[in-house]
Amino acid sequence: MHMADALLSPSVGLCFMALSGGALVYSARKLREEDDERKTALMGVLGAFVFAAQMINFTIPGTGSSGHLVGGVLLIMLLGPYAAFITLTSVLIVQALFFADGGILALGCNVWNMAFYPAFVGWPIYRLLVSKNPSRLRISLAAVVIPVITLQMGALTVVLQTALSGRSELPFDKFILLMSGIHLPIGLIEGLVTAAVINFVFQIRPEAVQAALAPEGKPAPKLSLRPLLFALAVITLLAAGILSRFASSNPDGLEWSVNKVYGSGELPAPEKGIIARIAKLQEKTAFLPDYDFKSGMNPKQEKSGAEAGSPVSAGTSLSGIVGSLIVLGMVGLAGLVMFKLRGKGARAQKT
Amino acid sequence: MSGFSIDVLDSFGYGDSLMHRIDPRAKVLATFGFVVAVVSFNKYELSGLMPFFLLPMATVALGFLPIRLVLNRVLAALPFIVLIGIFNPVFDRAPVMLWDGFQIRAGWISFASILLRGILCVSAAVTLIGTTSFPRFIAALQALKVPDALATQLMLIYRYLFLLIGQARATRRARSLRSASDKTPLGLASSMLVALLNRTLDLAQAVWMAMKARGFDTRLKVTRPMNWRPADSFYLALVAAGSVLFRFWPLGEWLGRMIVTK
Repeated sequence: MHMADALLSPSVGLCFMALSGGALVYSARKLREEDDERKTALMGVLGAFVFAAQMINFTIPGTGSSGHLVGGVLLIMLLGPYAAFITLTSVLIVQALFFADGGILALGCNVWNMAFYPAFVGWPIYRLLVSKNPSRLRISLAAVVIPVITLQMGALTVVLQTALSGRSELPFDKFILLMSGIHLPIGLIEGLVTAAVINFVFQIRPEAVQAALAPEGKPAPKLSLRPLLFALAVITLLAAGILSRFASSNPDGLEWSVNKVYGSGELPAPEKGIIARIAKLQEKTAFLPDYDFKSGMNPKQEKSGAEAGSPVSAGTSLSGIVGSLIVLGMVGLAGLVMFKLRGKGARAQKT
Repeated sequence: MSGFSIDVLDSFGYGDSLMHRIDPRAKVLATFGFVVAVVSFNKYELSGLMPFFLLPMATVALGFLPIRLVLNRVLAALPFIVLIGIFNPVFDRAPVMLWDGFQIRAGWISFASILLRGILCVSAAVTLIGTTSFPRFIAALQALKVPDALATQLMLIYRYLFLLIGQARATRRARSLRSASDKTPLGLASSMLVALLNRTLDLAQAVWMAMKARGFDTRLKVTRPMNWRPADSFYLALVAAGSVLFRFWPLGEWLGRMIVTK
């Protein structure tokens, strides 16, 4: 479910980077307040465990394929929300760099989708279901329910991020059904494995489970609704952004009523003043100014992709293709020259 | 996710070359700016993306990285991008005339653009870590004011990652040697995970005691001396200027127009 750089627009990527960065700073401060030094080693080692656990593949019942533990919810149960959020963020950074899962700009999105939800939505649910006195049944229930819920929220947010970025043409409703459908069984299986593992741990080391819920002599991280509400607000805002997009391309929205009033779809634009200036600036900076190429295009009128009205920039006409090939050739040539020039002195690989 | 080549990729970070010697802060900032420039193109852009291959290419060449390593990571990342992008030609059917008599759906162009972006962004990440050792990368993050708790966690994960992956491999092998079947049912996998987790928790205890014995004060000293040289400013300025230039000046189109005059 890693969001990829290739599907993102800079604004969505940077926006989620800021949100996740905020959550990170908040968690780091909370962790310092918890002042539990022992957690430092536990967090690091459990973060490494997540990678190791992904090497143990199991057969998914009913299908021929195999899966592995993702481990997010397991970490919440052993570390509490703040420590788990920071650990999961580190795991995602290592994945982005070493495993090419996601990407550098997509990191903010991935932290939000895969670390924020388990930590800040999963934790209140866990506290609610398990309270201070964990029993095997309650822990198992939480272990199954939380991955299902948080994976669904993550999948939904991936769809919102993709739709808002506008690089993919997948229709919002179909994409949501696809992602939600795929992640339901994934969540269930993750939940079952998490339940089995956490139950074993609870039997042989009950203190490991108890430690996150009620650290010695200190109150446990409380059931705070604020982050949960914040998460819901973000999802709502994103969804509103997408809905407003649909609305604006739909003539029976605001434009329709403007149409009735003025007889044309757009308000007469002022020729002077600040609005005119902003409009000019917007025209200059917009990649695709206000024309609807999909319905407005007629193949017979279309002579070249480079001409106005085409969705595609001049870069994809014949001259664009030729130019692209030339540039690629030049890059290749530059590479060859650099390979020749760099000499044989340095050795890159440590032996 | 495969464990393959993570240690190989990691070992390249410790090399010595022109690219390795550049300050990690410069490389992190340059890579970030590069990725933002690449993804900021409109969704149908193809020729504008081509000049951006220069940076990964130069890093591979001057950083002594094998191209195969980069391609391997790119291939690993492509399936998800292809899975999502392949719907573009299905839903975006607006015809685009490339030249007289040859017409394709606009969706194919945006799909190709997504693929190019994917290749560029993944190569940027791989070449960054291939020319920067992870401890140096963490030091750069710390210098760029990432919270200490995160830097400490990254360092600890990195230290125990290879150890625990090795243990997981051993567990997996031990099971396969005793079993006739290749399949691992859920229950069995859970037991294996518990065994691994149990050892991990023991390890955490040992690590904690060792840290305490050395006088650990909640903050790992990961910062290594870094000195910013004029060459680092030059590198950062070069990549930034290149990214801005190629983002706004369509080199490919310009060259193409010189040849195809129509």
